Amino acid sequence: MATIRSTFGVFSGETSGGGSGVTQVIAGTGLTGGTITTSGTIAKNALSEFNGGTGVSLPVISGTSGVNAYTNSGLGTYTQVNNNRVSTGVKTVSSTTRVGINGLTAGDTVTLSGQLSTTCTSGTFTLAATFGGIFTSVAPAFTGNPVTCDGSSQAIGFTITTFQVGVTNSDIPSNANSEYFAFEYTATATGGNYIVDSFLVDVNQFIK
Amino acid sequence: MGNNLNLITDITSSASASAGGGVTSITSQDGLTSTPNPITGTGTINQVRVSSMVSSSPTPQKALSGSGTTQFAVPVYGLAYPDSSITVVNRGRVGFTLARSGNTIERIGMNGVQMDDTMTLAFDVNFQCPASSTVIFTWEGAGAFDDDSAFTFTGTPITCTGGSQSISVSASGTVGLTFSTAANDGYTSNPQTDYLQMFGTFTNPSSGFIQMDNLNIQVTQFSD
Repeated sequence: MATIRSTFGVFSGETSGGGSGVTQVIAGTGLTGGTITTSGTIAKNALSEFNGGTGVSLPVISGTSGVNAYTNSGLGTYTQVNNNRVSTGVKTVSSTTRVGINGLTAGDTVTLSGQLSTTCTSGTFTLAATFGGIFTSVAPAFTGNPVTCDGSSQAIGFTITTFQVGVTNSDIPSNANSEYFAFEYTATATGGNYIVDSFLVDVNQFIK
Repeated sequence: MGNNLNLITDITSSASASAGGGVTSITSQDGLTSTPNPITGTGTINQVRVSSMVSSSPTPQKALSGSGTTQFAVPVYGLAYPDSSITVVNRGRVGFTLARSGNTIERIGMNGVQMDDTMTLAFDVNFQCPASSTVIFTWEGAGAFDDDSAFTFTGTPITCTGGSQSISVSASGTVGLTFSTAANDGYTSNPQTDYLQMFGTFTNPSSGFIQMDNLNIQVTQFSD
């Protein structure tokens, strides 16, 4: 289990007379604190974040299908902050995009939100979550779901409000293969496209 | 083997007779690095992002034996722990774990490897086998490292000379793009399922040895 303790204070003294001493410290990669010129605190950045941005537009297929949010030709169409113990990543399993989380421990907090749009032309389009591990007992809230298709772009929002691993649920996190979040949709007709407009997962490491 | 981090920065504060005190030097240590180090005026402190596994001498020779076609794993670590010939740096998110299979430590597993992390790998395999015997080397990594084509080495049969021989193995790329056969395989599970491993399959290996040499693996954490 990863444990990190790395907080310290920096106090920069006046050096007018001596002409020597620390005058500026910049907290760089993986650290918070910015530029310290007098006094301040540097700490590790406890936030890990997956920001999917806009995915790829794919045709709506009748029946139930996994949501394949991103292109398989290359990663990096999204941003991620994975500096410390917890890290997020993407894996495509059976044409379904999973966002998985590695390195979780009890006490970490997780928040998830985003939006999917569809231009389905007829019938209905219903979005549902598929998940594993810590997401099992924290079902997302949807807005605009299901969509009555008319060919126009209609949005479905999804949100999991901040929950604490091991407190909100009793699941012991394992790894990104089991701690993942994904979507599937059920369409009653074929026609139009769907696209993930946004997909944000924030994890704050618990430090006590 | 876990990936415990202890990020320690020593701050040396000394009284200055002329200035009346203040921080004069900051030295970054385990898990942190600074430019310059120590900082005595202006500088930046960064998190260490590179995890590495580097050998300074060959692994103990693994003896060949048997007849017919026999497969031997390339040993990566002596059975004694710690193996002083290998230096492991696990101060960032990524941690190396050595896995034993039977009487051989033959797998290099990784914890915490994630999408867009980069890895470079290089090592040599030294071997000696009876003249006219042959050996075929195969990559049998698993999980996020299961794509044989990402690892460069001589994969065609090699005729043994009876003397010392060697091949080089190398790889360089991005996790989730380069090393896995699966599309968007952007994260690893754990060291038991995501590991590096190589085998040599010999014909009539009645004598000789196989060992790993000049191991150098560097994994650099990615983060926007």
